[in-house]
Amino acid sequence: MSAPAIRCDGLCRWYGEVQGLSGITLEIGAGVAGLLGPNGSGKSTFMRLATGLISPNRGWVEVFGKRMDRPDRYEVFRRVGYAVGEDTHFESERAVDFLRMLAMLGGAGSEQAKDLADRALDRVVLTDRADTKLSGMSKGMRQRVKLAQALLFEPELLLLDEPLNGMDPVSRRSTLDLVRAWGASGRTVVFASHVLHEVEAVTERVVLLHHGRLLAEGLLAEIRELVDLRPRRVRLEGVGLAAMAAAALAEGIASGVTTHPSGAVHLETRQLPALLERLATSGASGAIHSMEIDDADLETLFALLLEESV
Amino acid sequence: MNPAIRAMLSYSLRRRVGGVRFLGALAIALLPTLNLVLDVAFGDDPTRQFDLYLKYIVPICLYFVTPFVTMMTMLPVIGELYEKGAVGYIYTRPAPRWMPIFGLYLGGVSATLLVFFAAAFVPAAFGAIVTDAAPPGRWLSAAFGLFGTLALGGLAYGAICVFLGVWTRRAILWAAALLIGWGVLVGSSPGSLRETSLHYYLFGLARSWCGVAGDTFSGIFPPVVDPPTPLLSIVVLVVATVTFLLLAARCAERRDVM
Repeated sequence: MSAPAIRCDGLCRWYGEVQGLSGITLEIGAGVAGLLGPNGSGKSTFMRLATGLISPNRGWVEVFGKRMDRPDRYEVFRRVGYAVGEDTHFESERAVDFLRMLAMLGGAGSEQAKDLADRALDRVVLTDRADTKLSGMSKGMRQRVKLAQALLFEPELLLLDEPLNGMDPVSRRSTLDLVRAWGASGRTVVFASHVLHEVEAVTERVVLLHHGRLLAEGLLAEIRELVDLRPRRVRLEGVGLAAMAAAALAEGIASGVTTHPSGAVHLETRQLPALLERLATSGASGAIHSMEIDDADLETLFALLLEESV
Repeated sequence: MNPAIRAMLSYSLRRRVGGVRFLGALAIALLPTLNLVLDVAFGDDPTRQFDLYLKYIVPICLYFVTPFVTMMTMLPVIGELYEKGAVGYIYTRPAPRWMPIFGLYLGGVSATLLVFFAAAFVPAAFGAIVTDAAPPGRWLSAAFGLFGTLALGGLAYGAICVFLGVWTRRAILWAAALLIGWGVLVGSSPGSLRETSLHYYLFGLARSWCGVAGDTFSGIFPPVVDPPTPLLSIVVLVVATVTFLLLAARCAERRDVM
């Protein structure tokens, strides 16, 4: 049986007194895995450990069965593409030269490197910017160049650290499509982000990190269910809302109502889908002018999971 | 040549030669030439310019140009990549880390040698063309001797700079201590301690290769009374180069990329 793309056990990393990652044990196999966590949660530390750029203080990490704290780790990079979280830093280079240089570092000859660079640029729709220096590109374009360099050798494992930062909506969509396609082809993508809906857009499988600890791991839907058990707030503006709210309360689909002097009504519910159905029926006549639902965003999710873990 | 080494050599050379630092290094390298130009313009002895080259330009190049130019061109070769975290792009490729480091070193050294070439040959060409102080062959021979000496110095001190760039964030302080302190100051101090300094061996080469006689070699610094043979000097400088490159490669395997 072939080794999983990434396997780690008791992985710990400190930066002086600061805990970067603490006791992470997990396996990541084929498909897209979302690495989700707020800034400083340990996502980039995990990526660096998985690429051998930093060494663990304790524990170990393997990529395709190869320990990444050993000198012979470089062999595994034939199968790995990594887009670092930071900017590209080779500002004086033209995009094509930058990619060509990295392709040659991967062992390609000069001509082959040029072909690989052209193909990678084409993949991220930057062919027309091949001769532009990285310093002359927008952040979104540089992000695409970063993605291109990770794709140079069609890697079996793609590690993307906040790949959508600074990208325009069109680039975001094409990047998300690419990530989904990569995962669907049987290869592995680790997609790190601090934005929940970005991760939701590419995968259902997530690893949640918080303050360097593994908070949860599994299907996003299962984690979402936990979130959905928490009372949610729906803010309504319109006419005749008091009667509608009273009816929802009586039917048991709302657990609390607050009426504001402005006429706005806040409903609290543990049955959000049922409430939304009810409101859709009642509000079809135009009684509801606006509706806002507090999103189960990352903070909510983490707050909930932290409560659960206490 | 291995593509990985070639790629980094090419990048490093482009980066070094294209920067403002290169112009600064070139200006430092050509500064001693100014003395020759002024002497030709205002001096009263038209035959002494060749002596000026040997007694003034050669030691200034060794004591001043070698450490400063090497620091300017070689310290950023790898240090700036670590500083910015850009080395992560390089170390996540299927090539052992010593390869890109060696390529970067070769590129940096090539840029350094261009500067040293100017430092040795521009004043010699000027002297050969403008003055009658010595036949052109003697100017050329002295310039080749100086360039050879500077080149070996650049290789060894360049390797030290690359090692420091990989080893520490405070590379510039260590480089100043090693190149100027250990190199220039210890190398020019009287006593046997100077034999531990690479500069002592550079002087050994310069005396032999530039054709300078006896103690008249340096009018500025204490003379090297009993210089090492060229062979010993070459061996010491080559061993130092290889040793520091190996240390750099070893450090690269261990240093975290933040």
